Amino acid sequence: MAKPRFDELRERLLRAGIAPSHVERYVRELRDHYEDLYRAACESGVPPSAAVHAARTKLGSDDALAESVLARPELRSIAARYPALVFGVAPLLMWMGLHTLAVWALLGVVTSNEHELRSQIPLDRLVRMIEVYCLVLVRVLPVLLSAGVFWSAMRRRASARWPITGAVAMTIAAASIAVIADDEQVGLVTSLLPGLRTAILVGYGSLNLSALGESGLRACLMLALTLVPYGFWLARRTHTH
Amino acid sequence: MASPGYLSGVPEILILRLLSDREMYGYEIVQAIEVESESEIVLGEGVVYPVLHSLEQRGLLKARRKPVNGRTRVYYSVTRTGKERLRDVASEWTRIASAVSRILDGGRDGKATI
Repeated sequence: MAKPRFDELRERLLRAGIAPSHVERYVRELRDHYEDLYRAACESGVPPSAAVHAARTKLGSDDALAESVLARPELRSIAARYPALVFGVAPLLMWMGLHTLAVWALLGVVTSNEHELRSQIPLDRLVRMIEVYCLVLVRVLPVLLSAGVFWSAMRRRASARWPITGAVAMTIAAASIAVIADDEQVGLVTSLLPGLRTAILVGYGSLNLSALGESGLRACLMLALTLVPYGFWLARRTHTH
Repeated sequence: MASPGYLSGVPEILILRLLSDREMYGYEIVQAIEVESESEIVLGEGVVYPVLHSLEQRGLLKARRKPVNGRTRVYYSVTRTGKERLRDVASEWTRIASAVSRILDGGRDGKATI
């Protein structure tokens, strides 16, 4: 016995903003229910081919099933109710929050373990480690968050407008931050490791055309990593439906 | 029996009542309602799940996955809040049903008074 897949029903509910968790569970329960109805029909002497039809009819039409869910607005996801907040604003705030926490964590670790760090790790290696850590925060983390935003939007069949807005805003903000590791510069980290000649300067790009150009290029490259696959998915979805 | 508009809240009461005895999965609930009501009330087979999900979201039910005979089913049971809610709605239902009956029976002095 092949259970119905309810693909059209799933798409319809997701597009209407029903939370994916509800949709998936609903479809799974419908498939189980269908199997129970089919077995009950077979046990009552109905031939298997007729039992398939009887079970599907008794379960209800796709329209009736969809309407029973859509009549309950409480089953709509928060993302469907507040797309601008969830996809547009939250990613930027999340990145800023994570970035701030991570920098505080770094400062905490460095200040509380300064002597151990200096005695166990060569200075140039320590500087490189911190540089990589900062690069992860301003280059890798935004890309991962953008991927998460787009994945979430795809899963919810959400409109592309707010996810793209959110990812672009976050990426531009992150790309504008320059991480400079310089043997002669004295910057933020230096104040935490007094006496060191080599340190990392973490700063914001100055408002000159060259810096803006670099930031813009960085933002484009970072965005391309997630926006291109998302664009392909959007194109395929448009083509399919 | 079809589901007239005035019975819109009835599935919730019936589900809460049935699940207050023991946990059940969707198919069991639909069958139980049909049997207990002697086929006077027949819920749409597939439309019971949105009601269950909604009740769960409101904290009146809780769901858990349970493997039975090689299949994993979602069993629902009533929470403490659900039991309180059942008490309230059952008492309200009884009050309204008897009031409607009185009117349908012609009122206390033999005349329907609306």
